[in-house]
Amino acid sequence: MQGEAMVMMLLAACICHSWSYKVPNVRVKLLEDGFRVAIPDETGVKSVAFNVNRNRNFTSFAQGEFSMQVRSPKDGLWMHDFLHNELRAHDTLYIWTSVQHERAIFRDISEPKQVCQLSGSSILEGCSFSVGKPLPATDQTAETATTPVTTSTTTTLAPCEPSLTEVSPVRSTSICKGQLIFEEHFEQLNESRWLHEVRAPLDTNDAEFVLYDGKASIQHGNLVIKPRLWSDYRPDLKVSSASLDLAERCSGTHNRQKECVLHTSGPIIMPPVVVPRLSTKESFAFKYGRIEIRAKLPKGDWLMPLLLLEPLMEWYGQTGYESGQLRIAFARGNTQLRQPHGKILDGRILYGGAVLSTEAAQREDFMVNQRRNEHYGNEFHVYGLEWSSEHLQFTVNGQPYGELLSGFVESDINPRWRRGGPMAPFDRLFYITLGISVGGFGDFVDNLRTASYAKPWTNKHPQARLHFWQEQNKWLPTWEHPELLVDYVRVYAI
Amino acid sequence: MFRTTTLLLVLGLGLGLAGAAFGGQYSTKDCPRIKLKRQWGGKPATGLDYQVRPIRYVVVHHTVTSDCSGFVECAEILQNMQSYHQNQLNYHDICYNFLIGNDGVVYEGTGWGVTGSHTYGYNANGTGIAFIGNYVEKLPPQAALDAAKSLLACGVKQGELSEDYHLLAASQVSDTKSPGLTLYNEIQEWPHWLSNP
Repeated sequence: MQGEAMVMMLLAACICHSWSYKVPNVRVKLLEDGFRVAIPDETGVKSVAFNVNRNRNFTSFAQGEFSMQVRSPKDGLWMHDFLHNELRAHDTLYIWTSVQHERAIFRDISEPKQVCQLSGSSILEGCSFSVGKPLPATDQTAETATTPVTTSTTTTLAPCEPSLTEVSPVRSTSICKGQLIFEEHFEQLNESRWLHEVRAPLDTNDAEFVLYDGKASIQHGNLVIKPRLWSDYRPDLKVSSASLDLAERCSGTHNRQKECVLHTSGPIIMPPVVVPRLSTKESFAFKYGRIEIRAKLPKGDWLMPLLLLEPLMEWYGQTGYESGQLRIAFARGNTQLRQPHGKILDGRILYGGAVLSTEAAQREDFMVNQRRNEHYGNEFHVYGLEWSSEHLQFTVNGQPYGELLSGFVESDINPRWRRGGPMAPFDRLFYITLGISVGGFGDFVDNLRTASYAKPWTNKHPQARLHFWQEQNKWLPTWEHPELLVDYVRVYAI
Repeated sequence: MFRTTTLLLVLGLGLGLAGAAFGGQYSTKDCPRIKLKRQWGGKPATGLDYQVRPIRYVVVHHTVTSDCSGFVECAEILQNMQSYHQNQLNYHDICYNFLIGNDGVVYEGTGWGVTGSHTYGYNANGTGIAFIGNYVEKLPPQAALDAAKSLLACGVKQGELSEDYHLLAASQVSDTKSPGLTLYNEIQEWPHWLSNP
């Protein structure tokens, strides 16, 4: 008996010993002509492999854009120099490391690394911070209203009050409180600023019934995002039996199998609606600030405007809403929509808030709202969100209607938020997204009724999309104004 | 005099380049020419499972495709094979660690230290080497056999293969005719061949 226990203990000790290794954090250093990845050597480490992606997260242990196995340590380090590639100031590196320790393999995906925060980043243009330096007068177009008039004899600059706001790409001049840091009037469509997404929604619990594809247009100084039916998008492919590989055009980065390749099978049909979705993912992101969007929301059953801030680096996780999403504003497209006990959920109610869960029943847990007598989509309104390290304040036409204080961490939806600050997950860079979604499982709870019919699908039902499509004669006639019109987007530093 | 120096210089340069391109960080002495995956137009792996080094088993296969003895011809076969393995069979990559053309050129598959999907039970601790072609009735040319032997010797030297690694034919451990009866007879004469796996 005692002998057995002894053996057990010995065994446990062995296991503990061989499993005690933990892959250390990868250190990255910028070089003139590339970058160096390294981890410290430890006894028992036999070989190390690094896989690195630039601006593309890993969703599995896939081969990286940069990939190398290192067979021996040098000066106490397992390292490799990836040369002949120049990183840019706003790039992010995603890295996973595999280590053979004795006869076991250990793998670890490290936190994303912003190039400007790496050691040696001073050599990169666009990374240098110059805190407290007043802005040159030329860069103050946005400040004309508040800048004192300069006289011919003295040049007085507006005092620059340091701002909480951070932007990506990092600017060479410091940002002042109140400064306009992003402005888009949609006189024309700047496609290097607005990336058009081409992908199917990830097959998560709240997947909407659309394919994101097609270009938005500009009409009378407004951005026009207009949904269309599959039959209009690809008349050559039947919605009920077809397959489509978005291939090179696909912009999905999470799961290319699900986001880029569509096929029907039995009751699974193609997305019945196709709609443009634009984002500033590759051109502009910010942390803390005030955003204002003047827009006319879509009207029509089961339409949902997307005026979003989405996480740039998905620091706290990449599935569901682990890294959070902010909805600057939405009102459902339905003119009338009620729950059985009479609660109104239609376009007469404006919402703003945070999405942290894929469940429709929890969608409004972190939302504020305001109710009016008419549909918000009847006219243009200015929808605003002030996002600081202490609160989220939502406004419509300049009037605040609700505030969310920090406290997302306490909800314990994602334990990783505890690693961040009190405002986590909303203490990272977010970018702007504009679009429309249709149906889905996250934005419409079950048992809803419009004025004349019941919600045509049950959430999470495998045939939900089919049922929605089959009731087209009910919802399509209600799409009197299915477009989202956006007059401008402005972001101010706070 | 002048001409000899130039020749030497060119030679030196060539060797240096070859070392950099094929060997990466290890010494390339005693190693055959290896065309890397990116050189033959291969796609990145959709998943990488690194192996515990050194590797204990080498499993020999044939590809049951047409054979090839030129870069362009072989590359086309490899590209098609990788596409089939990745897209139809849902493997992470082309299934073998290395492939050998009839001209004696070694083509990198998943390469050293990365798990392939060639032989059930021998993927994690084995290196799968395939001769491009069908070797039921004939042997691969001497150049190809020599390339395989030198790849194995090189693997041992570089610490990729265990010094006492075991060599197997796929047909010994799984329900397959690979690498073909004639080639199976040949490898039974090689050092490290294991008669009773």
